[in-house]
Amino acid sequence: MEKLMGRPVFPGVAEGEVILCPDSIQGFLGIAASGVIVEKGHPEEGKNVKGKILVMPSSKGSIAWAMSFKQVALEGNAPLAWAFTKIDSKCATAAVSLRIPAVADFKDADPCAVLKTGDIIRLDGNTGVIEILKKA
Amino acid sequence: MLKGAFGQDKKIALMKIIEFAEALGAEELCPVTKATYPTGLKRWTYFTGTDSYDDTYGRFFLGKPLDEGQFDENCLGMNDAEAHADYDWQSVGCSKEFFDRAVEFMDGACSHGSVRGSTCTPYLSGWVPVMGEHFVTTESSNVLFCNSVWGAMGNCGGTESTYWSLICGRTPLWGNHIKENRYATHLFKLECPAETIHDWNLIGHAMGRKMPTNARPVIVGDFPRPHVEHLKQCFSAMATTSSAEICHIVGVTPEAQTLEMALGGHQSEGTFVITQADFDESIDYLCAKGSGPVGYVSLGCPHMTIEEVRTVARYLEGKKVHGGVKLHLWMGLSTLRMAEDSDFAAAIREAGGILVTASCPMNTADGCMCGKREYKTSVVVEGAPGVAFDSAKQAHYLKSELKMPIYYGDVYRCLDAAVAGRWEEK
Repeated sequence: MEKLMGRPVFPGVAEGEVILCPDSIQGFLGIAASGVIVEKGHPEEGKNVKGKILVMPSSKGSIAWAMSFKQVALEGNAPLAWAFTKIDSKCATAAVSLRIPAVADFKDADPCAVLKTGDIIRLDGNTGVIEILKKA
Repeated sequence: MLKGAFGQDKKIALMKIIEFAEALGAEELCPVTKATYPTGLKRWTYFTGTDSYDDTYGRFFLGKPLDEGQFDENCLGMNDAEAHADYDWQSVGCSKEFFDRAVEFMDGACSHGSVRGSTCTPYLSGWVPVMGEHFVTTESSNVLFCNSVWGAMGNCGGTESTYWSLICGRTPLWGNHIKENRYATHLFKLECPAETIHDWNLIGHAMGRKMPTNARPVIVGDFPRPHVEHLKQCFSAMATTSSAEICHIVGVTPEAQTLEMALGGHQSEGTFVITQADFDESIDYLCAKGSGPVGYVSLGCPHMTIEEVRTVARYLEGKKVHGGVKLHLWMGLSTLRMAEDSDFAAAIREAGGILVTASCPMNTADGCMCGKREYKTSVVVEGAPGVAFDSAKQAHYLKSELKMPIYYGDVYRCLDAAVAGRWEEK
């Protein structure tokens, strides 16, 4: 089973389907409280992040990035977990604020290059390990 | 502090900051002496179902109502842009009920020692972190400006982490708070126009589009020395299209007196060139095609300097804003006061312009109070057949929100549109 080794960011384990955002998601006005990605031109525009595992390089745009996802979570539409290629301060704020499993800082392989939307993975926020359970 | 000797609020805030540090992989904290953050009603304030600043903000960030007393005594805190103006609620389009509650919230923050500056450009209002000083803020263009122009040290973070730092006076010693992490990683050569505020707006937007994630750019080229207006506009656009938090400019910013100094002995990881073609691509994205009627024109994102206000006052002399157009000029409270006492405000009002504080089109809202879920955004542009901005940031973000045509151009084209009631394609 293929594994990706990252650093644990926020504890917890999640198993689910990947939404790959190779250029992240714009914070302010990039995602609606419903969980739908509304950023114009985003490759996954129109998809809902609820119950999915978000895989992205890092955050993008406004400092309201974490708060945008917090509103998604407060409406009951939070993603299951997320993986960041490289942590930044907006991602870390979001991870602590949403309190969902998170891993980051992958050294050997970039999850954005390895994973695809629709892959099924197991993400362990305690160890930093991602296991690919089923390829899309 | 962790034992509660300074009160429960500071104890909880510090616990959150330690969690934040662990998420980042930081091993130490550092003191924070400047902070900016929202204090009024936001789209998320209804979630707690409470009706005071202490109850709402406390529950949201600490899980309990705020206790009486000061935020960290050593940290100068000032409110950031809000979802409402300080005074002119009618022209901004919110209800009186919303406005009154918002003012109560802003007053609530002041009871903890917070300063009411009501601006996304606090560095124009006495909130100035100097070189090496650690700051936190909820305004991305402010992060870029203070890291780059002042040499102060700060990361983006978010509203949550900014409040935790404001209350306990600490933030993780990570990222831009460490000198080694501030050296430039990517070279940007300007082979484009770089003379006007509009040019620098497009430079920021285009650079951000080309920039790799988490890059730290350094700008080189043969161009006139940029002024504060050029830089604030450049950094606000760059913060919209990229995750950049620091941007060196050789010969201009303090950590880049030379290219070698900016790179700190490291090799550049990549070189990009910005040309007129990049400008054209940005304009193609930001500005609707063709000509058409406008009902709303906004200047001042980020909030205006007094020089920008003066420019508008002079340009509008002898002109009148079209009857079907609302022209807003957005600024902080201190700039408004200067504009009032310098007679620029009177001249602009005579021409039909409106000076407003605290907010901007994409932040204006109504609703979101005390358990009310209804929340309307961008209320200020409601009913306009078309809108015009001189800010790449406003045009970029509002493309996702507004249905009417959005026009983007320099301040003079926007003012011409306000006077004619129409945007004319060049």
